[in-house]
Amino acid sequence: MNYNKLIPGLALALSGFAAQAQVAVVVNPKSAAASMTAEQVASIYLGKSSTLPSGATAAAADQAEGSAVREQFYSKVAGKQAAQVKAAWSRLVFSGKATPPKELGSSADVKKFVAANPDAIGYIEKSAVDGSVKVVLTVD
Amino acid sequence: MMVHARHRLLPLLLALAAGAAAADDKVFSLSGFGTLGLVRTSTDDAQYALFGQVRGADKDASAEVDTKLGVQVGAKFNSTFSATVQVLTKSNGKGNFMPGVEWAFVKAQVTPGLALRAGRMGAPFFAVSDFRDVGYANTALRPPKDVYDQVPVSHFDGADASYQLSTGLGTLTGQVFGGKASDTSQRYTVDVKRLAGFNATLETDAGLTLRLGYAEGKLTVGNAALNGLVTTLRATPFAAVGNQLDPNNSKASFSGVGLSWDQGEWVASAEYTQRRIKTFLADTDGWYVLVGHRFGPLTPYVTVSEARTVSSNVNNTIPAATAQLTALKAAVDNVVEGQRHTQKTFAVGARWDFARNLALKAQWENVRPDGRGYFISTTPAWGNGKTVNVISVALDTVF
Repeated sequence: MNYNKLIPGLALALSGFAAQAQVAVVVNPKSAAASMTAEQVASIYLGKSSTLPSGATAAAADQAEGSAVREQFYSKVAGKQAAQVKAAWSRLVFSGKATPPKELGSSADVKKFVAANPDAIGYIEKSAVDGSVKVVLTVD
Repeated sequence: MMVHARHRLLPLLLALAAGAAAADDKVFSLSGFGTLGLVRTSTDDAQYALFGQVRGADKDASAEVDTKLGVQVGAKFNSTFSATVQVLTKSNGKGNFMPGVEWAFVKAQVTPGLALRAGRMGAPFFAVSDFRDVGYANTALRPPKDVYDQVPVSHFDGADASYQLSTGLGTLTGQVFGGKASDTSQRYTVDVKRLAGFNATLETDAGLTLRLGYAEGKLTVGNAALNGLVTTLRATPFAAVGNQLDPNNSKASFSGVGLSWDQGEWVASAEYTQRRIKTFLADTDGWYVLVGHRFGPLTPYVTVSEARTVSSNVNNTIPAATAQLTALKAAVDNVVEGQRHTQKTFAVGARWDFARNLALKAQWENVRPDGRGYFISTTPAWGNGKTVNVISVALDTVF
């Protein structure tokens, strides 16, 4: 096997992935939060905390299960695979402690949801960001 | 008592379920979990069952031990009030799969940190009490029997208050609870009155969870034969032995410490628990340590656990002086031996997250009991115990 040819190809493939993987965590433009850490975002999406930095109860939106943006978001922000996230939520749901984020079908739906709710938080592909939402964290 | 409670709760459940099906998803949510499991062992001289079950697995595989289905309806009325009802069907202490109301509580989130609940809810005796039946939520095939078989009740009727606080170390949750619990264990009724306890959990951002819990109450086991033996003994000079066996209103306590670690590729958990009871049931200690490692969707794990009887609570002072006394002494010894739970278990297993919302698990256990351990329906050929290998497979789902 010719490794000299393989490695540049692999690097190209990986860089392609990285470009695809840029995810922006977005909140309502009226939100006081200017930025959030990955830990703050992860704790909301893993049900460890229900509040935004402002103290308001967060209305979190999820993307569709199995979607690329959702897989990237959880692996980059929370360091967890989809099954781990599901298991963590089943621990919370089946002890009556918390309700999982609202699942929406697309980044357009997430933007619409976040733009309409001052305490909303969501995540979308960075390329989908527009003036209707405010970016508080970008991961790639 | 139980039957009445169930009759009161069923209409509420049906109303909630109907609401969940009909109303919009903002108020009601429907979720569920299930396990299809199969267990077989290397012996026909005893059966492997979970505590309370009346039948289990031997060389003939049994699907009864682990198979279960739970359905939960949640209702969120506003930002403060919510309700949760969970119905669970599994092989129970009456020997059937009759669905039972595991939980039915209303919750008031008074402040972001303070929550009050009233109704029927999970009794927080262990680290994974609330989701011990949700196979998908756990790494191992089932919670280690050497620890989780010590308490024959899983829920209580009463109230609790919990307070959550963010600290520099992580999220600290304190819970106090009180009420009463009842269930049927191996066809005997078990009632715990004046149940009260607390639970403290610290969950750090680094993935470490520490837990400390304590509960106590007055335990009554509805065992007519044992009550008869106690009455007989109280008419002899050995009334003290009868008093020690008395299964009514015995002071009982359960305490436990636990830790779990879930960060990156490693998972680990451990618990140490103590059961203390002033009756024919033994004082027992139980502990386990589980370590697992994720390789993508595959998580192999190893569990080491031990159950140990630290006191039988009965000092059998009856002398074998006459045939009658010998029979009486043997009757007492028989009761005591039946409650001696001492065994060591080494388990190796794997969880495979092979599809969305589905996990397939397989586990091999090597159980070394001293006496009966936690095996049931032992035959004379069992003798004083033997090493038993147990193979289990389970398919877990959540929806």
